[in-house]
Amino acid sequence: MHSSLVRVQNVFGFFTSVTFVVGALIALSALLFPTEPGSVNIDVTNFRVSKGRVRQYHATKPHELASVNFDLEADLNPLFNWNTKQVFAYVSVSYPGKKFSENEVVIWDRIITSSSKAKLRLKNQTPKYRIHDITGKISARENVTLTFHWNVQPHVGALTWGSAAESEAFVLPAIGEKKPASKPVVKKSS
Amino acid sequence: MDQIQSVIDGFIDFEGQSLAETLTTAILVLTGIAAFGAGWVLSDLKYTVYVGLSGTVLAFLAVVPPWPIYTRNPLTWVAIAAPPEVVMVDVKKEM
Repeated sequence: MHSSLVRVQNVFGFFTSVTFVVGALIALSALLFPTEPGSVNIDVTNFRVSKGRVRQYHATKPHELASVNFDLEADLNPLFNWNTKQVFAYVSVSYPGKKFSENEVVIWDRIITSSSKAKLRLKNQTPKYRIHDITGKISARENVTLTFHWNVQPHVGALTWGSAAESEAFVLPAIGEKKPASKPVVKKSS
Repeated sequence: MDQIQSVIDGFIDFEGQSLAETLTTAILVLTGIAAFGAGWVLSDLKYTVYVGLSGTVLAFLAVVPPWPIYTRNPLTWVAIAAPPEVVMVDVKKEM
C-alpha cells in the first residue's frame, strides 16, 4: 500500500471479491421466492390442417401444416422478484407418432419483461408458428396435447424451467376439415 | 518534475498504509451489504448496482490519493554519522 498504483490494485482486487460474494448471495436468494406461477388454464379452441410449403431447405414437396388455436389464462406475477430479468412463456404441442414416437412443437411464445405484463389472457389465440411433422403428415393425428411452459431468466443465477396445465388429448382433423368429428373434451387444470 | 513524480507515486508512511488497508476493507464490505440491502428492499437489482458502484468509487477516492491523514507519521532516520577515519597500511612492507 506504499504507492498509489499498489493502492489502486488493492482496492480493485477487493472490489471484485465483494462483487462475487454479493452476486452469489443474489443467486442464492432465488431459493426464497416461489418458482410456480399462479393459476394456469389452457384450452384448445379451434384447429385446422392444410397443405402448404414449408420454407426450409429439406422441404421439396408440400407438407401438411396444422394450426391450433387456443385459450390461455396464466398469472406469471409470482415469478417476478428482484432478480427476474424476463420470463419466456411458450405453448407447445406434443403428439406421438409411428416412426418418431415423441414429438414436441412450440406454436406460440412471448417474452415478458415486467410484472405488469405478467397476466396472460388470450382468447382463441392464433398460433405464431404452424406445426409440420418431420414425416410431412400431421392430419388425423391422435393423442395431441397442449402444454404451457415458462422459463425464468434472472439477472444473476441459474435459469429455471417449468411447465403446467396440459390440455386434454384431442384428435387433429383431416385436411380441409375445419372442425374435428367430435369436439374434444378439454379439461381445465390449474 | 520531482513534484509531479511524487504526486503520481503518492508514497505514504507505515501507519498510513495500515489505515488505508483497514479503510479499503471496511468501505467495500459495508458497500456490499448496503448494495444487497438496497436491491432487496426496493425489489430491483439496479439499485444494487448503483449502490455497489458508488461505494467502490468512494473507496477509490478515500484510499488512492496520498491524503495528509496517511502521512502523519513520517519515519525519522538516524542522522548520517561522520565517516570513520581511514588508515592506510602498506601490507607488503610489514611482511
